[in-house]
Amino acid sequence: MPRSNDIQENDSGISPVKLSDLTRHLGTIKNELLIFVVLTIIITDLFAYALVKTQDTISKVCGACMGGSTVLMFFLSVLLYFYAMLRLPGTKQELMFEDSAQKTLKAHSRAKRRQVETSLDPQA
Amino acid sequence: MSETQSFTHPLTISFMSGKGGVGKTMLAVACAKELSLRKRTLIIDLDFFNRGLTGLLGEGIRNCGQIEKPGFLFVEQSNDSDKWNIVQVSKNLFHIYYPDLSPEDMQKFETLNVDVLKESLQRFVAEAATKCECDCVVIDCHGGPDNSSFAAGLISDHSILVSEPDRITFYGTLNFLRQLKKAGPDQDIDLHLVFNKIVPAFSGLFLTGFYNRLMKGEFAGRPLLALFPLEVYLTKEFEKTPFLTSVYPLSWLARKTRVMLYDLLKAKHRDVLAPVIRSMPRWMRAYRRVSLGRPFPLLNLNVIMPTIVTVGVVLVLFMLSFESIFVQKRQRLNLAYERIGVLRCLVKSPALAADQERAKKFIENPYYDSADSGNPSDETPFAEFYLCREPYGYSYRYSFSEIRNQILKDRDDARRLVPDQYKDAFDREITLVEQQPTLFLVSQRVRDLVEPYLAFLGYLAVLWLILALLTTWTNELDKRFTYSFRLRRYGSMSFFGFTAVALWFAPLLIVAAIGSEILRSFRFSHFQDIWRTQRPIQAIVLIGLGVLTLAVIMLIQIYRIYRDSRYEGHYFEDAFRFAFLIYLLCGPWAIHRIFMHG
Repeated sequence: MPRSNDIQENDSGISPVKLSDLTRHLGTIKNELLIFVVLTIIITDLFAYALVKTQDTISKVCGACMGGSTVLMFFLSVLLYFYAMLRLPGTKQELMFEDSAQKTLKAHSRAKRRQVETSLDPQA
Repeated sequence: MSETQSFTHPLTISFMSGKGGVGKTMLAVACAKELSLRKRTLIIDLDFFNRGLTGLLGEGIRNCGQIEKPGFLFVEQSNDSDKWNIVQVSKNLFHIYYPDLSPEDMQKFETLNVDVLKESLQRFVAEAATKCECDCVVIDCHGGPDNSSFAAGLISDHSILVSEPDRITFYGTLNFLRQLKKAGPDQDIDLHLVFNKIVPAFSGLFLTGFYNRLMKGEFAGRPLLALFPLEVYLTKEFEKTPFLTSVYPLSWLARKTRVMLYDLLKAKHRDVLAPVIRSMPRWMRAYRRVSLGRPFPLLNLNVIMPTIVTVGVVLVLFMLSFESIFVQKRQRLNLAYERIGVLRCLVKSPALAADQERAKKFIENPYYDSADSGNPSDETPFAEFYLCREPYGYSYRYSFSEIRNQILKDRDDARRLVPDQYKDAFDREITLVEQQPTLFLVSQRVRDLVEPYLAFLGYLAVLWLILALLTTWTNELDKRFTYSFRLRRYGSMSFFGFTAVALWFAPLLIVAAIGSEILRSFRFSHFQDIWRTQRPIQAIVLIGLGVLTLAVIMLIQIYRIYRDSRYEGHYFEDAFRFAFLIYLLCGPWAIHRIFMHG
């Protein structure tokens, strides 16, 4: 039986990754992600344009849908970019600092509580 | 206590920290120096253990009197060593110079509780400020949670807790906050946090957000006071000259200190701020609050290089994919260009106008030439024909889009030159040129755009390889310019070469492009002819102008160094980074204008 604070591994030896851990790393790859999304949008738009110019109605509709989806993709990626820029750590060092600082802050809160309890305790 | 009341209460600012070495003394001196621009200011070294500030400021330039040793130290009756000197260290700035403390002093100092220490320190500060007629007092505390720091915090109008964004310092900062709360549980201390020595891995946006989310509560909801970037050259210079804000007024320490003082004192003590601080525009304060003095991202090589590579790769892929789609269309259009050229000059070339059979052959196949026709003797008239056809003849000197635009622009004039029997054929070709799908035209535009860049990279690659062999220079420049790329040895060499070429040849190419453009715009045919035909003269002029530009840039930089009395290299770095950026933007354009489609 693994202990609660051990890293739990499944049968294949892969440790489970939480979604929150992944999203926290988004800030460090936000530029790359934006470039990738923009490239994808350009390529999709080019294919969409070719489809729209065809004579077939279904192809035209597909092309228009593809074009519309790229607009949506663009706005979503920009939103994500600004969210990552404003709220998430932008570099590995920032990420590590935030992790350690949060632990330190928890310890600080506990120590403060103890300090208050000690000061209220008449026997102390 | 009655003695304290007879003294005026000066504005007191104390600098504290959870651990040593975070830059308290540097900030305290900077702050005191800026305050002294308007008010007489006293700076006190409360770090009796290290006495760094006393060592730094020394005995000052003038002795202004003496003051009794503070009551929290061991005082012997009628002893001259119990008098400390108040010395002036610069205009309006004073300091208390004291000798080494005795073991008895330290023993007493360490055993006193905070309340006693606080009263004694308050009396001492008020007396010292009155003696030297100072309105402001800056206290540089000992690094770490000790009673003297707590006492200083409790007597100060404003206290600044200096921290760094790293694990150890942050732990010390929180520990300091707990101890301070313990020392003065009922006291409302105006405590502010300052992050100092911020390394490039951290952004101002992140640290401000981090403070607002997690730490603001610890400081009673007060905003983060300031963010100071790590300026390595200042750390070294601080040993030589303590008043960095005067010597380096453009440093981020100086700029941010002014904004920090404004934010700290604007509400209650606005009158102590110098006009230069008060008159700072709001937008400038807002920018300086967040900025950490990094170069604009566009000047950052780490941003420039991946962007150029990405854009280049995308354009090449775009060009290649459309080239493969529109092969036949492009060939057909090339043929149309040539045919229009033939039709247009039928009248201009008497030899061709006289030979109707050959003219028809040319219209059917514009690539037909005299050599293939088996009549070498016809070379002269056909040379004349080729010459008059040139404006629309597709060649490497003209881009595809340029010829198309030219044809469409002067088609009416050209139509007049076409003989009547060929006018229909001319109109057909013009219509063909005119009516093209947008996507095809875009692809041709991209091709025109990419071509000079590829040529540019070709030229650059040759120079790059040659210079990469110069390893000694590699090492020197590598340290200065390409530190961020030093992933591997060969990587750094390559990047050195690239950077070196870009940096040192930038002015040359920029001036070459500008000179070429200016000469092109002049209508002096004589100069134009010389420019076109005399390559050595062209080269001499371009190199001369390039050297001149380089010299001017150097002189400007040398003047700036002379003005600020220092050399740390970063002015050169900025200048060359800027030149590099311009070069990257202008290089392909220059290649395009001078060598390709000139």
